[in-house]
Amino acid sequence: MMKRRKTLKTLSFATASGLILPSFLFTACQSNTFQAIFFTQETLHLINDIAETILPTTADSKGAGSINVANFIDIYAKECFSLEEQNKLKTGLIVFEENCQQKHGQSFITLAPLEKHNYLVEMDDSAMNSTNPHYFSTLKELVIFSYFTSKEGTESALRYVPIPGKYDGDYPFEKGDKAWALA
Amino acid sequence: MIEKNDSNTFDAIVIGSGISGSWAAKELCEKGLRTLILERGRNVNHISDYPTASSNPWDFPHRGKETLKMREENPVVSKCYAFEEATEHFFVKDTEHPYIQEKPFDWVRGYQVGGKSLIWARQTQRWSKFEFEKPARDGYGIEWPIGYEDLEEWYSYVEEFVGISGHKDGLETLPDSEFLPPWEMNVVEKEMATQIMERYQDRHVIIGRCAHLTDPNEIHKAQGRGKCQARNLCYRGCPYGAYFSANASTLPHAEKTGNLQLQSNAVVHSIIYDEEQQKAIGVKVVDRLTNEVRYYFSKIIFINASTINTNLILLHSKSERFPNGLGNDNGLLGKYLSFHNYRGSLTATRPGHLNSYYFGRRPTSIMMPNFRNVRQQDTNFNGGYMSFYTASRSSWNRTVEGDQIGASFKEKLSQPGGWSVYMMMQGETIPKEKNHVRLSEKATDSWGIPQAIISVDYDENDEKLLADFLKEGAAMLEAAACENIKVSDNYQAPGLDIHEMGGVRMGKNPNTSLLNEWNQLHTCQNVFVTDGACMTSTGVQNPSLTYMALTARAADFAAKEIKAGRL
Repeated sequence: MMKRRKTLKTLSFATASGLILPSFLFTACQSNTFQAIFFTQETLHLINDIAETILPTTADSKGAGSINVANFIDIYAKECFSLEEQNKLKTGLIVFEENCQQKHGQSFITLAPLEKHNYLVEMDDSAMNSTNPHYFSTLKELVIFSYFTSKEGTESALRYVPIPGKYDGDYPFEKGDKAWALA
Repeated sequence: MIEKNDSNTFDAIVIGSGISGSWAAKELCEKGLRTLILERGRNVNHISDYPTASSNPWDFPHRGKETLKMREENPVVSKCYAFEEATEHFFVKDTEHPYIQEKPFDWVRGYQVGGKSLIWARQTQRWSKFEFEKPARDGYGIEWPIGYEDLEEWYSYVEEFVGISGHKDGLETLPDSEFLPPWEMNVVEKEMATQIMERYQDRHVIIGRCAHLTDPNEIHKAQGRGKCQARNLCYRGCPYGAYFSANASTLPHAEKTGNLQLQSNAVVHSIIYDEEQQKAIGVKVVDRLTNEVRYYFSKIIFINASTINTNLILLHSKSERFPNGLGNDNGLLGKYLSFHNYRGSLTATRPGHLNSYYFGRRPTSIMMPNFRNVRQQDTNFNGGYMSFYTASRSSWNRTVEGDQIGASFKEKLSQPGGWSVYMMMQGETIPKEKNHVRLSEKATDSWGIPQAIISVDYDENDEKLLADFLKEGAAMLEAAACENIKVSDNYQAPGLDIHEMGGVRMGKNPNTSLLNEWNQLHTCQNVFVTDGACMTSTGVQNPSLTYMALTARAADFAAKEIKAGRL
């Protein structure tokens, strides 16, 4: 976690403006009654869509978008990020959409699931090969952090034992067993 | 000057309610002395004032992380490993308690009833005879006025009450405590221990010793404390009272005697020295909330305000007899401040054992007693270090191979990865006259008391010791079949170790020390200092257990002296 936090803390990038998405997309996220304090409602929707593609719903647990991790990311970016980090994330999401428009002629949100997946795989590759800290890496780390510390992530994607009662240093493990939620 | 009366006069005053202050109060109360504890911070009741003790990760608005506001208001304390959203209420706000860093010094403070005993790391090892003997033997410090044999029975005495878990290892370099059952090593840690000890015949690898009740005895149950549940949420305050804190243990115990009065929000201004009687007669206090000035009187005074604050109180206690601070005839008060060197750490991976895991969250790690300069100086530096390591399997906070997006990525992050190892040091530093704290002549705090100027730095010896640890650490990890071994120097400022010690050091000679072998000021014998400020050298161990033993020993002596009419 140290390394991840450090990345989040050291990001620096200047200038930004609001992110504008076609208004018809807003209908898709009406179930989210959360009042954003940093992003627009449209951007929350975009982040949830990206989050669901990174960590989708699987047999044992809901995906990151399904549990609206964007709501937490909105608060986190507003209250825990420096102005520079905030700007970099906002600007990055604009670039993200512009690239998507250029490549696919439409918004990320309206892509087919496989196209979304492939687009993020490309995005992730270029972020990992980037010499400077990339906004997408930051966003991905935020998605992972907010998902695996959420109630769903903690209790369903991981194994959560709030009160272990003891320590066992030789506990059996079989391939596929989930990790403990707290280290 | 205010007149003495029944409500402001006590047998003893203890300044500070943390680990050592609460021990002083408990001992003095039990010996029948009416005792006043002065605590500068707010009250914190055991359990009812631990608001986050049972919260889940998702209950916190920022999932435990610091906000930008928290970091801005606390540029120093936010560096502390134990400071987060769940624990911030047990740390002072840096902005409210300014001090001057002549050189970088991260001063981490917990101003509340219980002090830092709520947020300490709870690792407890006795000093060995070597730590007492080495500074004078190797010429890097003055002689301690006491040795291991003077403290041995007091270690046992406090350990039985506190509850220390550990394994009887029978080592000369880390004497056994009175132990409750030990925690256990996991499979990988155990295998590494064997490999390290096979490769290095003179080194020992043992399970950590800590102030956690693994199997409470009657003496602990009588305090209302229960078994450790291996939650590892200790810094929030323990609802089971399973680790030792003043709030869970010594303070309620002292209260039961009927002899304790606890005054919170009482910021000590200075000790009052009476020129005629040639002794301290009381304490001047400023109310934290109203700034009202009050006086309290007593036969003896224990200063346990935490290392730097204890120094400040004495420096600020000026009189005709002591124009440079109470007991400061030799001008050494505030000097020889020292700390522990935590700069070095290593990470590594360790292949195999993918069918082994662990259950529960153990509140200690693997420990290695010091193996450097033990019987004689056999390196190019002075002092020694302890080493600590843990082996664990991380999950979502790691990088994984293969898909980086989608279902299989999520599945991998949900499962533990291979084993990784973390190793760190706790190094002795050399007390030096130039490392000091003094009073600012200009800047004061909100209560009109001069701010501290802290001037402490690393030296060449620290760099050599660090280099040795990193070299030896890497070699030991290699011997323990680790791979991808990486060494790191975090360059952290002194202070962040939260093991600051000295300034009012003990010694045989009044020309070179401030306190005698009973922790009395040489030149004002009804004032005792038994917190970190009294330390003549730093040793390599976590220091709190030694503060407790020194305190119980000094309190016993003080009570006997009062009964004999000498104090």
